[in-house]
Amino acid sequence: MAEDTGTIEARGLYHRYELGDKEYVTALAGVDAKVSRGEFLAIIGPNGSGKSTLAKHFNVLLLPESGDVWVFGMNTKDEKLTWEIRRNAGMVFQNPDNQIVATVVEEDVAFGPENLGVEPAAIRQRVDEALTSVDMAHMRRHAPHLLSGGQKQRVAIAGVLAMRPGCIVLDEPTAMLDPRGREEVMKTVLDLNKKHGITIIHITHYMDEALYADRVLVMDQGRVIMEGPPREVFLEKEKLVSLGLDVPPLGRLSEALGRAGVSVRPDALSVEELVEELCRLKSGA
Amino acid sequence: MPIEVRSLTHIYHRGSTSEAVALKDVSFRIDNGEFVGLIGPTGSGKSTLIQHLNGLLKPTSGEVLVDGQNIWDKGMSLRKLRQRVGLVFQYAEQQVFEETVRQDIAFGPRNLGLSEREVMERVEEAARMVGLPADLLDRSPFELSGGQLRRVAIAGVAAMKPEVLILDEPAAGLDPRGRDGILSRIQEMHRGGMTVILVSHNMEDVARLCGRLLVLNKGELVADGTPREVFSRNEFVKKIGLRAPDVVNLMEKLRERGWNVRTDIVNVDEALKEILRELGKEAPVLS
Repeated sequence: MAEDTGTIEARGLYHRYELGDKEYVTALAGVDAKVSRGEFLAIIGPNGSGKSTLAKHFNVLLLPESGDVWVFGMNTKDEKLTWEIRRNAGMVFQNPDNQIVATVVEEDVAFGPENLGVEPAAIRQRVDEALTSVDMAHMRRHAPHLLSGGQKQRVAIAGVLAMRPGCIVLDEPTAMLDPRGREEVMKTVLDLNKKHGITIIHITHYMDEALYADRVLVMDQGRVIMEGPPREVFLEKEKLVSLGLDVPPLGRLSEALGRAGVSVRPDALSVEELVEELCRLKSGA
Repeated sequence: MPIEVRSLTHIYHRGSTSEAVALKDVSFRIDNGEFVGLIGPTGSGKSTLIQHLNGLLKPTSGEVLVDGQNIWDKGMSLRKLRQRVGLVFQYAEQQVFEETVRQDIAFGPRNLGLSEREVMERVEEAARMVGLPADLLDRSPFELSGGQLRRVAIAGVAAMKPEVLILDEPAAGLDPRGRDGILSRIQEMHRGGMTVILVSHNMEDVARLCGRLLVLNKGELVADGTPREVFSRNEFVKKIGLRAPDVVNLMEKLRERGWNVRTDIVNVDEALKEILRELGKEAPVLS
């Protein structure tokens, strides 16, 4: 059966790490997950729930012990396809300082396509486009180590974009950034998804970042245990808290307002949504 | 043990082409028992500053005084200073290296010339302080989760019984439960009498925990006040690349829409009170 070229999919995915002498820890205990082309998926879950292990399977950094992973129709177990899959599903990691290899921004972005054997003129074009997409074209000649954390992460994203991927997998890309850096990265990611149709898989511990997604997947102990649009998932506050997760900061305020008899929509979780809700209630009162 | 920083300037690679001014004429004083948040964008000088407080870096000019004594004066022991001013680095779990958790936490106190029994007492007390279950003490650090390892690293510093505890992003990369767990332990240590300096990018956390914020930008101390004072200057906060807690931004937007609410609030409870008052409702009695 030909696999769906419009999705990234894990089916019955099982993976364990060896601790040492025949001791294992199960990281993924049978994961079924599907991401459609053009979708923005957020993955949340406590530390050790298997989020990063799953992400690494999409990029063939890990192979399934059992089960399968398909990236736009390509099975990751097929060795002939490894590089094509990696080109198609690029990864961005947490630490901005560990991902940059060159001494000039544009050379760093060119690194990937150069390795693909792309023509120099085409590389130039790809680098320019990629840097423009992440709003870093004005800093193309800068030394990466002098950039801020948010700028470094945007260069890392540009490096992935220069490979013309269908999907970008981001594993806690904002964990080490200051508030402005976080905003820059989230804006960039959202832009790539909405304007360029790039599929986004975004792993995060910041619940408010999951609000940008079309769909949220909640993992615990190597399994997917909840999934749905963010505003539906965050309605299940008790369950999330029992997993060691939370709702976005303003979720607590919405909840407290509800208890005080102010019936704001419980899924109003961003500043803008809550402002609209409160103004609506006030003018109705 | 008060810490005083006077006109501190630090220049990296002085005289070379890569010369960079990391701190410029910074002055402040921290008194016993304070819980101070140190905030500022990446590259603003936070890490450089905290490394001066326990003598890991020497000022290019200016002074660091502990108990009124310049720490670089002749006859001052940096080793003793570092017992009294403990520093937990960012991603400190990467520095956990011993075979068991117990040995790792014991590494610092063992260098204090204490008896083995005293060392073990300190290890167990520090483990309790950071919320590490006793049955983990004899495990290999490799068997622990990231959040547990972070606690081991903090316990290693806490076991030195410092009077001042400085932590650089102790909750970065942890899930919400891990984050709350570590922060509430730090809060308890503060209640137990420790002076705490917390470096963080999480404005919600510093607003909730700290009595005072020091704000650095481009190497200069640009604000020094309570979280309420700092975050009520929201334009300024945004301008330097920080972001006030969501509740502050919410209050500000409501004001723009004609609500008569205060904007100098720092937490959900205060926001709730303001909104209810404006809607003509009573705050609920907390059960």
